[in-house]
Amino acid sequence: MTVAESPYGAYRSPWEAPMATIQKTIVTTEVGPREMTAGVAYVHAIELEDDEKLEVGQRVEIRDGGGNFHAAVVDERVGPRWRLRIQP
Amino acid sequence: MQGPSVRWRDEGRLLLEDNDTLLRFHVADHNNLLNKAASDADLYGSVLEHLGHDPEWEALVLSTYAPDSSEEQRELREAWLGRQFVVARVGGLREHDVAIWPTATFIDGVPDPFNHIHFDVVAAVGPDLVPSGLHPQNRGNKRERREARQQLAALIDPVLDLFTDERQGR
Repeated sequence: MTVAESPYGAYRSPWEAPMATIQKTIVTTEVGPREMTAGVAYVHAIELEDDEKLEVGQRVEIRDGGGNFHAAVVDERVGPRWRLRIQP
Repeated sequence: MQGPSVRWRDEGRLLLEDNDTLLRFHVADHNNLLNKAASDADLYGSVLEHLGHDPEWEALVLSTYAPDSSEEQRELREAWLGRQFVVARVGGLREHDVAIWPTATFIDGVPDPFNHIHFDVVAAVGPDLVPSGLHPQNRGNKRERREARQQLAALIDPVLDLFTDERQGR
């Protein structure tokens, strides 16, 4: 899932800075003690929706099965999986 | 070893009594649970070989833990960042002929710190369990993927239904 966020909040007046849009990619996979210990999570292509195109170096948010978010960077592609390095 | 991996476990807690309880982290979105089960189905080659099956087969499992003490249960809950859990009684699973495997899981060779109490509850074992509509190489459209998940659900949900919200069990 990709969502748009504005660092300026809602647009309020013509004198304010124009709204900038940052695209943030959210991927869903499980993050438990194993992933937190390794500092790495893998997301399989099966878990990605159509609009999720990952690239090495890309910043993403991982949403785990409990709805918690974890910042991560796409590290490498390993077969059908992407390795995501969880940010401390 | 790079990537996630699973092997049969010969150390740690191995024996379970019928009255023992298995804890599983709750996954709110059912589609995510099915996607995860499908994406892990190809990791069980060495476990299947250990059990005398074809290592090319797939396994659909639910990952669980069997804490042996209240202290261990507390540590598990803390490590899972306050996630809700669902629970199943071992005897209840056995009454439905559901297999429970002692397994150890790893990421890039790093073990799950709770491997010594980790068990996979087995929903299905066999060839080509993951429907082709979910496979990355011939990925179907949204309708085809939904249908593929329905096929998976037919295998996984009867076992998932044996777990209850732990708050209801109190």
